Amino acid sequence: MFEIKNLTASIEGKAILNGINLKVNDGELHAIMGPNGSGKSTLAHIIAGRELYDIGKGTIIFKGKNLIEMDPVERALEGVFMSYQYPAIIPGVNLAYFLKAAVNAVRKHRGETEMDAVDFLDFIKQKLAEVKMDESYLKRSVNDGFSGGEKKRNEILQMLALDPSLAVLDETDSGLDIDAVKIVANGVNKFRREDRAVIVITHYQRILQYMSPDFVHVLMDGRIVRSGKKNLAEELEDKGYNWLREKESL
Amino acid sequence: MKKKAYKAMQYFEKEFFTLSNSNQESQSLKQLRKKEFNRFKKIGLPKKHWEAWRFTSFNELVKNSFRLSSTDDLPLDKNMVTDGLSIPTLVFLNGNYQSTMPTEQEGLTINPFLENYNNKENLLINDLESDPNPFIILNTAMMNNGLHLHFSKDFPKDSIIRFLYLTTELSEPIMNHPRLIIDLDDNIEATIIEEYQGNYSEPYFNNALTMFRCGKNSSVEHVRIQHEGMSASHLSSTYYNALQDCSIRASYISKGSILHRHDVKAILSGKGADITLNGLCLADNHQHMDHNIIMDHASEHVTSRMLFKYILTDKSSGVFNGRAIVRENSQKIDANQTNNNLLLSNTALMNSNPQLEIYADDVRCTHGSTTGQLNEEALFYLKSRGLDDFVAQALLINGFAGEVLNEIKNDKVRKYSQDLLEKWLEKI
Repeated sequence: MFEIKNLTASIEGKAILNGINLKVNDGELHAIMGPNGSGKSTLAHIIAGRELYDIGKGTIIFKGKNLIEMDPVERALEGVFMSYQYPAIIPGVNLAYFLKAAVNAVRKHRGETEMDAVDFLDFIKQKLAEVKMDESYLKRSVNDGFSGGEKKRNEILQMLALDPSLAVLDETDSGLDIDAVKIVANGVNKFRREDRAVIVITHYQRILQYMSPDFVHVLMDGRIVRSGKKNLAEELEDKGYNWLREKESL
Repeated sequence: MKKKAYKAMQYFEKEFFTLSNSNQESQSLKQLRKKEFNRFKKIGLPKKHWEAWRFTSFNELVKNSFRLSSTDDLPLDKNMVTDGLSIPTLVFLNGNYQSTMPTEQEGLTINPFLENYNNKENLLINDLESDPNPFIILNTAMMNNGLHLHFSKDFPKDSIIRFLYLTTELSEPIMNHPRLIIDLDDNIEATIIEEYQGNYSEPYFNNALTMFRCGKNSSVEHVRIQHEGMSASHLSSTYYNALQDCSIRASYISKGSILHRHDVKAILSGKGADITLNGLCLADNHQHMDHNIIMDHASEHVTSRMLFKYILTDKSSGVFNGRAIVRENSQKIDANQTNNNLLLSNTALMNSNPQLEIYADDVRCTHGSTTGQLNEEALFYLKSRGLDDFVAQALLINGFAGEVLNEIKNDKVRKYSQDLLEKWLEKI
């Protein structure tokens, strides 16, 4: 469903991605690990369509279409979702209103009928329960005054509500206590389905303990330098990124 | 005197001459008018070097000649009020008070005071007389509408009344200088809507003065909606006097007219008084929106809050001059003043000038001002959830404006104001 071929990208002349290759099949969960500044977040933002970066060469194929030619709105409507490391705060816009607008935008795009307020409330209540958020959040401004953990749960809530085909989670576990990590991982596990794929970007293998990644990739200096199974994550946790750096003589 | 300003003075003089010769007003009113008009002539239009008027341009006033409105300006179809706000309304149609329209209301007396003016009517508040605002002086000299409303103890709580200044098609540019005096007895609760609406695209000029004198423990919600025609000049003043334990909450929604200037003087004269002034200005094209607010803490133990938000696009401009004065013996004051502005184009211009003037030592006064563009990160966040550019921007702008609009307690009026914002967003 998703394939990146030889992707390069830079910002203000500085190369960040130096030829990324990644193939994700339906139903798979891939973890991308890597040290600070390796290009992990850039990759997530480029998949979502952030215009800050200059794309050099390469393609990002999603369900047969080149994502690079689509604006961020189209990507979202087609089923690409990104969970942010630092979700934006939207003062004065309540969560219910925002979620309903987003859910209905996706439904409309798919040719489904839009939900009215009553149906939407029933629908979103179930999703809220899955990430252990209560209904009072619906009346609050999006992420305004939310703690780090609340913001991340809100990202997972949006993922569950928007029903994308590909979810890219950018450091969704960072800054969370162990209970919150479990809630997030649990949300991802519920989300997994044969026709959906997940890319989890993370520093640490901690969150991967609660998930079953099919593949683990290590991103360094803008390239995937090693791919393996779940035990690669454990090995990295033991030996650190420098071990791999020396091994790959980077 | 500069040539252009001289031209404006000429039509004011011509109209004043006609006014003083034509009607059957009492001698005392004629004398008052004459005294004030002479004062106006002496002072003239505000000068560029007057600090509070530095950014206000009077081009619109001097390039047109305005005639004082008369009964000839009444349109044939007088049933023009067709908006969704079904609340008791007093209508001023092209400057003419339509006395047939208001409904009787217990605890409220309405007196068109120009017809039987005697010196007893307290028209001139000392606080205003010393204020060298030429447009207030001009209003006194040329007021062609005067209503005095007295709210007394039988006035039902939660009642609402609206003043609608409606301008429709005209044969030539007209001007109006309406004056509204609102007296509330002690313990009165009232919601008062003051609306200026223009369904007309040619120039006209409104110079309104509204005075609120609020008794002890009274509670007022004042919503002022300005959606004049886009070539209109709207200059106006609002005065509040809050006695002991009186609470005033005002919301100003301004989106019409090419020139909007609103001067407000709010005096907290009794212990325990509380005044909140909120404003939302929406400007596009070459519109200019100007607020000049004085919050005078004239008693101890009073609280005040100002929150003004401007959303400017195209080549529009805005001015916020907010001045909080705390007098020498006014201890235990809590005053807050905030001005936040959103610029949607590179050519829009905002001047923000929050000021504090504090002569007491045991007070809490805060002020802050921000001006910026839509948050790019927030915009991208919304787009990455499938909301298109228009919806994403509208959501952010609604969120920004909501802080002012959500403060309007009356559901109908809040909804009405939100609709005005929606319509504006569709236009820009």
